[in-house]
Order: sequence, then C-alpha cells, then structure tokens
Amino acid sequence: MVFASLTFLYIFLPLNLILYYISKNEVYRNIILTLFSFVFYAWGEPLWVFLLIATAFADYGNGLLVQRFRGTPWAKLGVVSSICVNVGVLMTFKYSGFVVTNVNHLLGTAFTVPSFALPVGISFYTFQSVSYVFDVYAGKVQAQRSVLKFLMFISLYHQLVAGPIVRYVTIAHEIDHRKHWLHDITAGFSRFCIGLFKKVCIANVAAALVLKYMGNPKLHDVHIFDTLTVGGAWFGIAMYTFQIYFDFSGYSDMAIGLGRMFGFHYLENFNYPYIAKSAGDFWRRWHISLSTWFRDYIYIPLGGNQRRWIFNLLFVWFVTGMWHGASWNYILWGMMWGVLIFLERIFLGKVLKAIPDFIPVNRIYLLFFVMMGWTLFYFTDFNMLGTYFQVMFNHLQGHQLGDLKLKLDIQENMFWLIITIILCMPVYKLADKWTKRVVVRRRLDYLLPLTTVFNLGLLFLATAMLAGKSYNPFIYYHF
Amino acid sequence: MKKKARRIAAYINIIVLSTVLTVFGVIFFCQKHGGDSIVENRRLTPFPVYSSDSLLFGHYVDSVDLFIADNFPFREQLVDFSFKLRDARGIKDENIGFLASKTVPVVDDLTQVKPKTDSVKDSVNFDANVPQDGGEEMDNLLYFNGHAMEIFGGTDAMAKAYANVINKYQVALAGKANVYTIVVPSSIEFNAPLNYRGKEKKNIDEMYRNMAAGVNCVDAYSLIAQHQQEYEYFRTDHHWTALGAYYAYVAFCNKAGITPLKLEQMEMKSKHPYLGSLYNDTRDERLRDNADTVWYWKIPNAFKAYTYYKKSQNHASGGSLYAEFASAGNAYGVFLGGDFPMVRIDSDVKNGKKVAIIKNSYGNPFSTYFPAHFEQTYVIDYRYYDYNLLDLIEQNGITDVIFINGVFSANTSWHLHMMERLMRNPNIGKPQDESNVKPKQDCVPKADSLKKPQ
Repeated sequence: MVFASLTFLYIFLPLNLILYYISKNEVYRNIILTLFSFVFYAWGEPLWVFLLIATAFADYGNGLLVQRFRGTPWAKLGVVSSICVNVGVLMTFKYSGFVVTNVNHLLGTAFTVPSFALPVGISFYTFQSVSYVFDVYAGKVQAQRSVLKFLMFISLYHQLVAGPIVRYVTIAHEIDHRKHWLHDITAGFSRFCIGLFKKVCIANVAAALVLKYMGNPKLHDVHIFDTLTVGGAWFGIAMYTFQIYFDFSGYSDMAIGLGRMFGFHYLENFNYPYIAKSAGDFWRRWHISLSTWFRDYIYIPLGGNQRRWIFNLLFVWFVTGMWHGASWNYILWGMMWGVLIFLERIFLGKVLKAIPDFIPVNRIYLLFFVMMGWTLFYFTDFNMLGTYFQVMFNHLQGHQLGDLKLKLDIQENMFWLIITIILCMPVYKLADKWTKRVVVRRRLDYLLPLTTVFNLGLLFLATAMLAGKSYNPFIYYHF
Repeated sequence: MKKKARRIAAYINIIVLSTVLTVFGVIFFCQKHGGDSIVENRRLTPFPVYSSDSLLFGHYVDSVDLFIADNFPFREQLVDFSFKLRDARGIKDENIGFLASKTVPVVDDLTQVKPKTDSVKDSVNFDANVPQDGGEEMDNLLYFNGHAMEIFGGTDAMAKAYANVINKYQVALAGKANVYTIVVPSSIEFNAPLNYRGKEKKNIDEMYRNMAAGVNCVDAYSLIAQHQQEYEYFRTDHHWTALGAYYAYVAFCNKAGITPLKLEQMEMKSKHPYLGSLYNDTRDERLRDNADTVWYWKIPNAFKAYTYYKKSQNHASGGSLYAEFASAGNAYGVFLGGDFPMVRIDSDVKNGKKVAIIKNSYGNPFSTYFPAHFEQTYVIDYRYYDYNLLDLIEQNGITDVIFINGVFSANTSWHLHMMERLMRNPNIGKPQDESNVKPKQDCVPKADSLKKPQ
C-alpha cells in the first residue's frame, strides 16, 4: 500500500487511528500497530511479508544472543549471523541478478540469471534490523525481549517502505513506554498533510513532465531523444530533480507525521538539500538517515578519518551507490559523490568557502553536480544515458536550443514551477516560525485554528488529484 | 490562556482532520457502488472477485484500490476539480498547445497484436467492463486554433500492410463484387500548422500505390482538401463530421459512376452542444468553451433498418439510420445508433445493387448516404462482427464492397488483424427471415438499447 492513495487515506488510516486509540492498553495498541503494518505491507507484497517476519525473528534471536553472551565469541557470532541474514537477503533478492550478469559478462560464463521481484522496502528494513544487532553489541541499547515489540519495530508501516531508516536506539524508549501528547498528534497530522501535498501535488506533476522529456529507461529507446532540444533535456532533468526530492522528502514527512500521531519521534531525513553549498553539505541534508547510517556502521568501523580515509570514503560511496540499485549507473552516481567529497576535502572545500556569499558559485556548482548526478541516477540504460548527456551539452548536431513544446510546457506550468522552486527553500519553515512568533506576541491565539484550514486545503488538493488519476475515459463504450 | 488556546487549536486540528478522513470512509462504505460514469463513458470498476492466486500475486488488492478510487464519494466533482487545478498550473496559449492523452501514439507493426494499447479510440471492446489502462500519458494531441487533433505517426510499412489486407479481399472477391477502399485523412492534415501537415497524404498515397490493380481506390483526400475551409472535422472529437463524410461519399460516387445526392436534396438537422472524445480525453477548457455541433443530413428515401447485435449476430432487431435521441457526449451516435456488428438497411431503391461497407466508427456518417443508391446496404463493423465476410457477400449477392478507414486505424495492426480475420471466421449461415422483425424506421429506439448492446 502507498500513503498517497485513497485506500490508505480514507480507509486504512482512520481505521488504524480509531482501533489504536479506542483502548489505552499498551499491548493492545502494539498488536494493532503490528497487525496494521503487516496488512499495509502485504497489500503490495502478499508473499514477501513472510520474508519480513522471518528476518525480524532472526534478528530478534541475534539481539538476545548478543546480549546474553556479551563479551564472548557468541556475541560476535550473533553479529555475524545478523550480517549474514540481512546481507544474504539483500544479495539474494536485490543483487543476485546483477552479480551473475556481470560474472557472465566478464568470464564468458552462462549461469542462469536469477530474477527475483524485489520485495518493497527490503533495503530499509534490513538496515534497520542489522543496526539493531550492532547497537546491542556496542552496548548502546538493551536487546528487546518482547517478540511483539520487536516485530512492531521492524514492520512499522510509517517508514517501512520508503524510510527514513529508523534505528532501534532512536525509538527504543517509545517502543516500551510511549506517550501520546496532544501537541504531537496534531503536529503529526499537519506534517502528514504537508508530505501528502509534496508527493501528490508536486512530485507526481513533475513525474509526468519527466516522462515526457526523459522517456522511460525501461523501454531502452534512444530514438525518443531524436527530437529533444538542449533546453528540453535540461528542463527534463530539472523536473526529475524536483520529482525525486519532493517524492522522497514527502514520504519522509508523511512517515514522521504518522510516527507522531502514534507516539513515535523519528529523526529528520531532509533539510532543504538543494540550498547546500557543497557536496558534503548536500549529504548532511539529503537522506540524512542513510548517510549517518553509512557513517556510523561502515565508515567509522573501517577506520573513519583515522586510517586510510581515502579508501574508506570511496568504499562507502561505492556501497551507497549500490544500495540505491543493482545497476552500474547507481554505482557511478555514488562514486561521483565520493570523488566530489574527496576533492572538497583536499582543496575544493576551501576554495568554495573562500568565495563570498553574494557570488553564488558554490550553489551553482552544487546544483550542477546534483543534476548530473540525477541524470546518472535516472538512466539504467547506458545508451540512453550517453545520448541524453550529448543532447544536454549539444554534442549531437541538429538539436535545437528549444522548441514550442518546451515553451508551452514552461508557460502552462509557470505558477506550479514558481511554487515548487520556492518550496525547495526553507520558506515554509521561516514563515511558520514567523507566524507563530506574531501569534504569540500579538496575542492572536484565535488564529491558531487556521492551521486546520490550511491542512484541510492540502488534503483536499491531494484528494482531488488522486481522484483525478482514476479518470480514465473509455471512448464510445456506450455506442 | 495561551496554553488553553493551543490545546483548543490542537483538538480542532485532530478532530476535524480525523473526522474528515473517517466520514469520507464511512460514506464510501454506505453509498451504492458500481454504475456508469457518464463523463468517462464507462462502467465503474466493480468489487473484484476473490481468488487465492489473485490475492497472492497482488492483482486482487490492485483491483480493490481501483474499486475504491472509482467509487469514491463525490468522485466526479473531485475529478473535475483536479482538471481545474491542472489548468491553474500556468497560462495556456489561446491558439496552440500539446495535450496529453492516455492513449498511446501509433508506433506499430504487424508482428504484434495489441488491442489494449491501440492508438485509435475506436478500438474499444464492447464487452469490457473495467477501465483499460491506455498506457502512460503522452502529448499525442495537438491543439491549434480551437481544434484538437491527434498527431499522426503512421509508417510506410503499415501503409503496405494495410494495402496487403485489402489486396487479399480483392483476390477473394474477384469476379464476385467490386472492391473499393477509402482511407480518410484526419483533422491534423488540414487544421494544424503547416509543418504538421502532409504526412497523412504521403501515407495514403503509399497505401494506394501498393493496392492491387482490381482495387478501386477512392480519392477522398482531394475533395476533402478542396473543402477544407468547411466544417469537415470536429474540434473536440477525433471523428469527421457528416459533411466531411459527405465529400468522401461524393468521391466514391464519382469513382463508381453514381450521381451523388446534393446536400440540398436532403433534410439537414443538428445537435448541439457536442463535446467529443478529445475533450473527454483531455478535459481541456479551451475545447469545452468551443463545443461542436453534430450536423446530419437525412436522405429522401424510404428505408427499413435492422441491427444485428453481438450476442445474436444472425438475428435482426429493429434498427435506425438516424438515432435522433442521441445527445450531449453521445451525439455522434446519431449515425446508425453507434457501432454494432452489423446494420442492414433496405431501401426503396430497387436496382438490385447491394453494398457492404466494412468500417469502424469513422464509417457511420458515411454509410447513411448509401441507401439512396443501393437496394440493400450492409454496414459491418469489423471490430465486432464475428462471422465470415466472404460468405455473407456471396450468400446475399452483394455487388460492391467498400473498406473505409481513418488513416489512424489503417496504420494500426490490431485493426488490420480484425479486418483480415473476417475472411477466416466461420460462416454465419443465412440470416434469419426478418418478416417478424419490426423495423424502426425513423422511430426512436429505447435509450438502453444503444447504451448497452446485448
């Protein structure tokens, strides 16, 4: 199931809220959350829900093993077992096809390429699960003794399929004793509405434009770029830049909002990444839960900045690329960021810092590589990727700078584009802060319910657009 | 005081939002589900039938999602609002624009039969009761000076494939009936900016160049081009008007040596407003503000019409040449009452000549002129007719066979497949004696009989 659907919004969520808050009994509430999480997951992955449960049981056992035999080789065995289980699951379902294809290609062998349907959210929940065992091993947290609570942690539908990666240590206390404060629940609703708006009204609109200009990489059709203009190629990647941010951060907002509705506090996952001034800055703002995960569980254990930092850095970015998908374009994308961060560390960072703020070279530098990166990220087909780059930089002769189609698309989406660009900047955050200050200073408390009007507006816009997606005229069926 | 106000605001936020979510959910469960969407011309998705396989592979829950989305409270109003939102995203040029349609542009060859991703909207399945996913939304429509039109993407290979199908019929019917073919250009050829024109002419020329010697190729293009300033194509629909069809009929008459009726010899009637398929597909406000009129000309002859439905194709029911009750979004249905496997019209012309018109919906207005010249007119929709066409022609002594296609369907493999299969279909046998069938000459059939053919 997805959050941005009428099924979730008007059936699943209200039912979950009613059944959850109908009783104050903690065990009952945990059972309800766990059951709803299973239904949520099984809605899209009816078979793989059992894989999720199996993984959870394995790490529940590993956690207890590590705690019971702390300081002995058995504890290490628990960690190794967890790594084997989770990496094994990932390797099997996500990377086996990629590995065998490359082996066949390199060695000229003809092994059958496995083709598993990728279980949704597998990259997220395996990382959550393995980090739990690590944290128990490191003594940061006590192992969870309750199977129900551990199942709930792994399967919590709020962040199960699209993050953020929630570490057990972050919500350990709330799993055992969470409070349901009024201000949390109301903030959760508001945050959820914002995320829904970002996903449905911004990301989905951008997605339609992306498809027009960048095509579908699964179709492997380079000829769609025959008539693409240079401006069209840049417009296409700009739209993808919007799509991926609003889609992903919208989901994170919804996850954080849902968490607060049910008494959990997940850490922020995005902090206006497109206003960053360097690659390092960008990755402190983009998918924060992932970059900190790699830092804490791979980079630092490898030696961090202390030992062979260049290797550690590039290795982490190689793995980061791999995590995003089993294809070389993702690895290239990860390596691009690794190299940029390496360069920034040795000299580029100092150069960028030395440039005065009123000359936005650092922002232009960052946005340029963000867009180059997303181009790499979008095209799993290297023929399409190469041709698209050539059009972007006008290496292919005969490609015009712009055309009527591009002009009309910009004109017909002008207001939406302005709103989208504004929302990439912390305008809402500042406006919210300012409004609250004015309300407090001038004693305008009676204006506070306007938040509800605002939220209802966002919900209404998103609902209309979701209903609009179901519009499917069936011409002349009646005739 | 401040704290209290915040508490009240929080309660309001939580109660209002959760109530809205719940109330819509409750209304959804309590209201009646199913039925038709008038705007979309389709049946709304019913609750899916359970099977363990469909559950395990995810199809079942996908269908439940579709069912919920299709039957959501106030859906039509919400959909309407979503189009208003789309229009509010920026400023539309008054004269030109590209419109997104869920149908897929013609990129086709004969190696595949793809009825579900057909480019031409005619290719719907009568029996379908679930919405078909037409594919990703692409800008395959052009809006120019008040006209919406499909952007043509046919190929020489498809042109040859079309000629090949007609040539096979020519071989099979040699010495038995005269074979005519008419390929009709679409609106873009005459109403678009110059750089979009001419591709259809080239494609039709390629088709005619590849026709066998015995095939009579009717040059409708030239006559339509001569009259391009007239109202030959709808602005909001992918079809031509009865006037466009009239010029094709005149072109046929010229080829067949028949004196065509003059427009003044017929009674002209009209239906307004008409918002057609391209409006329904795009819901573009510029089209909505510029609705069409469906003109139709009634021939002066007396005639009796019989309709053969899909489930009983050898049993006639009452039919009509002009379904005058058709209105609003269905106004194009005034011609023959829409698309049926076969409509037979017996005319007061007693010259022994019988014509079979093999068509899709493009042929409907065209067919209405023929009872003025032929004793019997058989209008056969190749998409729904399930019997052997050659046997029908032979058994009924049909003297002339006309294949009429819009240039889009002539470039679509599914249509060619459907036309060709009529040569191989089983024999219908002799159609039943219609002595006990009450024809509905100029009378109004029940609305239901048009909406849901049985």
